[in-house]
Amino acid sequence: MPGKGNIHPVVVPKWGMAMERGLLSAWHVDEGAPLSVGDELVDIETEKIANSVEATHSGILRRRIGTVGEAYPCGALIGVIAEATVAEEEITAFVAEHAATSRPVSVEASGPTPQMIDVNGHSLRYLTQGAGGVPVLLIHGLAGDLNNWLFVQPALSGRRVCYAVDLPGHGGSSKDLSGIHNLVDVGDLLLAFLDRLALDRVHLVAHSMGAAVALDLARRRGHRLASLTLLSPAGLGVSSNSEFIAGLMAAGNRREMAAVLKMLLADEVQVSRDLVNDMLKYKRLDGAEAALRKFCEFLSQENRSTAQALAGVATPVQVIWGAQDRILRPLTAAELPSNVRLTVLESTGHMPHLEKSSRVVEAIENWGPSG
Amino acid sequence: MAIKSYRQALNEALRHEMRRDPMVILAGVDIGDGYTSAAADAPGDAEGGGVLGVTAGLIQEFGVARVIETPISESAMIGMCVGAACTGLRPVADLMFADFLGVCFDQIFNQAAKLRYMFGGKAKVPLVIRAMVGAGQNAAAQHSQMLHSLFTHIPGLKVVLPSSPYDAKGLLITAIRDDDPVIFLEHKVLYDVQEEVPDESYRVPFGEANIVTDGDDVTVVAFSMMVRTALAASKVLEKEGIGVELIDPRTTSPLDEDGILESVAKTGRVVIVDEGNPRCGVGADVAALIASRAFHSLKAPIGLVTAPHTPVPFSPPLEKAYLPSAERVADAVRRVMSSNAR
Repeated sequence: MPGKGNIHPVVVPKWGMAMERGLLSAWHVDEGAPLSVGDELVDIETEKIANSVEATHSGILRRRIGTVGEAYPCGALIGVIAEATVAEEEITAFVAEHAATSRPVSVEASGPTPQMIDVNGHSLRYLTQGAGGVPVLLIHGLAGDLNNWLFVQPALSGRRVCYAVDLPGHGGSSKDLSGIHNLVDVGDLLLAFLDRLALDRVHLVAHSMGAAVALDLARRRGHRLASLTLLSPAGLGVSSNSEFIAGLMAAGNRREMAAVLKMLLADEVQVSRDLVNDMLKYKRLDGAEAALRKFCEFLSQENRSTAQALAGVATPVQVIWGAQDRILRPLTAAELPSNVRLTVLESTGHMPHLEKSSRVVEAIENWGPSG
Repeated sequence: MAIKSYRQALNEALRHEMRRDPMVILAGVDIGDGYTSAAADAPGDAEGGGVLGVTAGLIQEFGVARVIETPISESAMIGMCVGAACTGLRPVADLMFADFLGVCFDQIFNQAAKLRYMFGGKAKVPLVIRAMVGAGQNAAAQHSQMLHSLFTHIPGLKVVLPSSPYDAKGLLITAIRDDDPVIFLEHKVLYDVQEEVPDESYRVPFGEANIVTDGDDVTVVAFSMMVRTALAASKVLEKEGIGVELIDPRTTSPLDEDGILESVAKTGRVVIVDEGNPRCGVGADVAALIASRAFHSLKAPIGLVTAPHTPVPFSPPLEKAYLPSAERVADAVRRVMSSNAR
């Protein structure tokens, strides 16, 4: 829904394809309060996860339309932002007009759909959002998929095209790993993927195990990378929590999986039933467990020190880490070379892109090399 | 991943398993659109595939040797499939209405369910019998029964009741890969229900309940179509401030006893919803499980909502009255909520 001149709507966002409605769980701002861009306005919960909606414009929160405890369809008007100079009647007219014309967003009608592409005999699933600029490529971690970026990808795609890809063996990509024997082979497959999409240079944003793949590309094919943003990275001299990996591999039911996934987030309450079910559903796909076992093996072969991992990397590197990461202990600035930008997020675990998505977006947008 | 119906999900499961394993064969009345070997070269009718279209397109892909049209003689069909399973094939028999299983009880109860036991594990019977259950379509008393409790009573059989497209595909794949005879009961009202179903093959394990909704106030255990009825009730109850933990056991044999007991230990209140007749039914079975193993957790008597002990009526208003409704489920929940045994 577009704004009208200097009146800006606050709407229920659409996070991912399956989202139809969001539950308004809290307002952070009172009616009449002044706002800056990026201020947290309101918390929206879906069946999968909760997140905050931020102010897209500065001004004043002129209307709080959404009620706490109510569920609204994606796209529904829940608030109005405008400067103090805008007349009350105009705001009232805007709300009335919206009430008269708004239609709930249907599942099929909106939201981008992932595509499949065949690369060197592997079928890879990827999702494209936005257009133009130097492209961004998002790479998930072990047992993750492109949906891990559901908060980050829409925000980053406002100014450039942004791709999220499922690594082989993960998400909707084929589970057969023939010809892939280590993370270098995974990196080569990603280069072939970039070639297929005719992408010469990308900003690479990679999480956890994906960061180990990204670092390998930076060492070998740095000219393809405009910048490198690593979230809670593996491959940077910190070894992964072996209890988590063993637990993830062993978990065969909801209870076991919930216990393992709680280690991922700083706020364990955020581990919802659907998050647990989605991970179990992934593991129960034919070939997924075998692929995961192989990736664990690849990961265990990674034993470079921090200095070795960054040796010869000419690409600008930034690292974003959750202070409460229980999977990969956060490095301190003293442990990293001075040319690596480090952002440590408080009250954040191993999934900063889900737990503190706006801070992650901000770190990427406001950093010279990737901004 | 795409939105698929229960019917499409079942079709995909059959297709995936037939591609993966050449030992998987199908047998049933009209499952190959009436083609005989003489007509097998004729262009296929992709709209056909059994009375409900579940096997559409399979005879065209796999041929008459693996998609076997049988005469209307259920006892012969199941007898053939039990024998075929003993030789190492993996037959999936399509029996159409579960009500017709009555003429095959010897083949199922005395042969399929007993051979592995009586031959000390030297024989196995990897057989799946698919059949439609349930009322709601005015199909009258001989085509509307919920007979899952009968089969649950027989050791040696596994009994599966998928309540959603995702579960239907994963449970059917698990059933076909299982080395024991599986009675796979599809509710006829569910065939057009749609949800996201992965394109790939996957398993849903037997004996693991699906927790459909989380809640702290009352556990509702429901089977097959009744999962949807109970879900509708839980939405009404949520507005009244009652949090329902809805549990779909998905298989009645094996039964996820621990999953049910864990939930009852948390809530202390339980309502069991089953479309079957009440006497010697799965509802009574689950109630006995809870009464004997979770008695000290209970804050109220166990609630049980079932059909009455009558045949399924043909008359539409009577059939509607026969089936447990969301209102009846909600009332039963309100009763256990207002009762305070301790």
